[in-house]
Amino acid sequence: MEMQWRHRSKRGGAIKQEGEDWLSRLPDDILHSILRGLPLKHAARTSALSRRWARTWLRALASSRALDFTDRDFARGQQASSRAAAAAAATVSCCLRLHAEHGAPLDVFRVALMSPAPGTFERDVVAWVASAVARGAREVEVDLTRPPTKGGAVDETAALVELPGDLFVATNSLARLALGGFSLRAVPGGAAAGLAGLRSLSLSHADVADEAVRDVVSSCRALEHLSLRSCGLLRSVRIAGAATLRALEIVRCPAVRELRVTAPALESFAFHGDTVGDTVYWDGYGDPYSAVDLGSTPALRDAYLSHIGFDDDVNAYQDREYVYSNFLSCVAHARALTLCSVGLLHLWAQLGYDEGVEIDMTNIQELQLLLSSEGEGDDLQSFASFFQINPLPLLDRLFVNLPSDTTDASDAAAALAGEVVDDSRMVIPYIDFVLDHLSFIKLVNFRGTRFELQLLAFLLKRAPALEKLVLVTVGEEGRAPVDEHIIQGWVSVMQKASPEAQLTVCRSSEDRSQNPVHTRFYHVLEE
Amino acid sequence: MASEKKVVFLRSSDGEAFEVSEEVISAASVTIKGMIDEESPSRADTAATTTLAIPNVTAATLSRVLHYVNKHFDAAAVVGRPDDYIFCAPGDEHPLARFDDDFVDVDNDTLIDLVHAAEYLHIKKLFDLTCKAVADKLKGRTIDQIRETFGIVNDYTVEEEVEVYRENSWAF
Repeated sequence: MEMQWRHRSKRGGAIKQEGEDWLSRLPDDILHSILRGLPLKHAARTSALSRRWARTWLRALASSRALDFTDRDFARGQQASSRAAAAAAATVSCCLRLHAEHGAPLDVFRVALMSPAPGTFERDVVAWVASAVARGAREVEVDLTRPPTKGGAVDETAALVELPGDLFVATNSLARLALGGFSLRAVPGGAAAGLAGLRSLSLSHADVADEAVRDVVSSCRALEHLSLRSCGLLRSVRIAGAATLRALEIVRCPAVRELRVTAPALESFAFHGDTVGDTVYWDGYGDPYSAVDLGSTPALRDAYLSHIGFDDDVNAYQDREYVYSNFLSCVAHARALTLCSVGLLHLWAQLGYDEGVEIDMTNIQELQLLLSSEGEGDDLQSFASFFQINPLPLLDRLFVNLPSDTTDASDAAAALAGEVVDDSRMVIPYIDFVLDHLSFIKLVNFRGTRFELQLLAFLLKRAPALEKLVLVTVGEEGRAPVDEHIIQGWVSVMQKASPEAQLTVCRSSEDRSQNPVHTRFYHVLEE
Repeated sequence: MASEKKVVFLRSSDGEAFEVSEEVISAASVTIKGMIDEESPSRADTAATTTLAIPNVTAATLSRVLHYVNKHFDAAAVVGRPDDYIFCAPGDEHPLARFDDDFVDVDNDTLIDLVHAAEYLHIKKLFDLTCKAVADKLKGRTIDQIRETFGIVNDYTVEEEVEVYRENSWAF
C-alpha cells in the first residue's frame, strides 16, 4: 500500500513545478497555524527567508489569544547587546499593536525582558501593561530582568520602571499579575481597587513599600497566592484579613524584620531570607513579643523555612534568642516541612540558654532538611539534637538534601571503602528516641563522606519501620559518583533497626523514587 | 446498526471515487458532514448512494486522508481515548502516535497536499498534525537550508535583509 501511495504521490505532484515555493504561497491562516507550532526563536528566524516572511511570524503570534514572550531564547538573545534588547522590546510593541488591529481577545500577556536603560523604552513597557490590562487580559506577567554586570553578577542597582499610579484603579479582568523590576512607589494606597478579582500576585525585584503591599493586598479580596521576591524595601510585611489567601511566599527580601499575617485559609508558606526580628523580648505582662506572627492557620499543609545564604554567622545565634524557634513554631504544625541547617543550628544554640522551649511538630509527615555545609561538628550535633528534642511521631518520609559543594573539614572527606562509620560522635546524652513511623529516607547529593555516613548511621539505628532508603549520588568535581558496591559495604555494616529495608543507589537522572513537596530551592541560584 | 452500512462516495479532482462510511466521515470532516446534511432530504426517497465531488483534492491525497480518517474516527477501530492522543508525551505511546508519525513522514509535496486537504475538508486533528509536521521541518534547519528545502527565493535587498536581522537580532 505504501508503494502504491508513493507512486500516486509522484503522479499527483507532477502538476507542480520542481522546486516551486508552495510554502510561501500558503494562505496566511494556514501559515499562521504552522508558525504557531514553532518555538518563538525559530518562528522569528523565518523573518529572514524572504519579504513574504518578514512579519508573518509576528502576525501569527498576534492572531492568538495568548502573547507569550517568556521564551528562554527571547531573554537570552537580548543579552547580546542593548540594541538587541531594544529590538526585542520593539517586537513586543509591534506584536501588541498587530494584535489590537487583529481585534482578537487578549487573554494572556507574558514577557521577560532585560530592564530598559533609563530613557529608552520604559514608556513602552508601561504601555504594554496598561494595554493588556485595558484589553481584558486575565493574566499579565512582565519580568524585567536585571542586566548582568561586567563581572557576571546581577546589577541590583539598575533603575526600575515606574508604574503609573492610576494603572489599577479601573476594574479589570486580571486574575494573575506578576511584575518583576518595577517601582510601585507611585501607586498610592487604595489605587488598586480594580484588582478586586485578582487571585495571584507576584512582585519580584520590585520597589514597593510596606504600606503599598498592605493596601494592595487588602484591595485584592479574592487573593489566593502572594509572592514577594527580592523586594529590598520591605521591612514589615503586614497582611490582615486575607481570608482567601492560600499560598504565601516571601523570598530574599533582606530588610524584612517583621511578619504579621492573618490568613486563616493559608495552606502553603515559604520563606527564604534572613531570620526575622531581633531577640524576642517580653512585654510588661510576661508575654513574649515576637516579630513573626502568622496567626492561626489550621489548614497549613506545607511550609518552607530556610535561611541558607543569610544569617550563616554562628555568632548571630546568640544575638537572636528565640527568634528562630518562634518563627518555626508558627509553621511547625504543617504536614510537610522543609527546614535548613542554619535553622537546626539556631535550635541547637537555643539549648544553651533555654532547654525548655518545645515546638509541637507532631503533625509532620514529611520532613526535608537542606544542609548548607557538612563536616562541621556543629552540623552533626544540631542534626542529632533536632531529632532528640522534637518528637516526630507521624514522620513518614525524610529527605536530606546535602550540599552540592564540599568544605575542607575532615569529616567531609570521602570514607574509605569498607570503613565502618557509626554515629558515636553524634552525642545523645540522656534521652534517645525512635522514629517509629519513618518508612522512607532519601539522601540527595550523596558522595560517601564520613559526615554523610554518620547521619545515615544515626538514622538507620532509629527507624524500625523503614522500608526504603534511597541514596542519590553525585560525583565530586566532575568525578564519577562513588561505586554502588562500596556504598552497600558501608550500609551493610551499620547497625539497623530495620534490617529488611531496601537500599537504592542511583544518580539523579535515574532517580524514580518519590520527591518531597518542595523541590525548588530558593538558595540555589536560578539561571 | 443500520448506519454501519451507510456509505458515501467521494470523487477526487481527478475523477476517482472512494467509498467511506458516512458515519465515520461525518465525524471527521465538518465540510463533508455539511454536504451530506444538505443532500439528506433528497436522499431519503432513493436507495441510491450519494457521490460527493471533492474538487480540490486529488485521488492520491484523498486516499491518504481516508486512511487517516478510518484510523482515527472509526469508533470500532480506535482504541483508547482518541481525543487525548495529541497531548501524549513522546514517551507514553498512544496507539495512534506511531501511526501519526509515519503518516506525516512524507515528502514536502505530499505533506502540503495533506495540509490543504485537511483545511478544505475541515478535519481539525489532521490539520494540526500536518501543520506541526511542517513546523518540525522548519525547526531543525538554518535559513539557507529552509530556503533550499522549500525553494524559497530570497527577494530582500541587502539593506532590507540587514534591517530584518537587526529587527530580530535577539533570535539570531
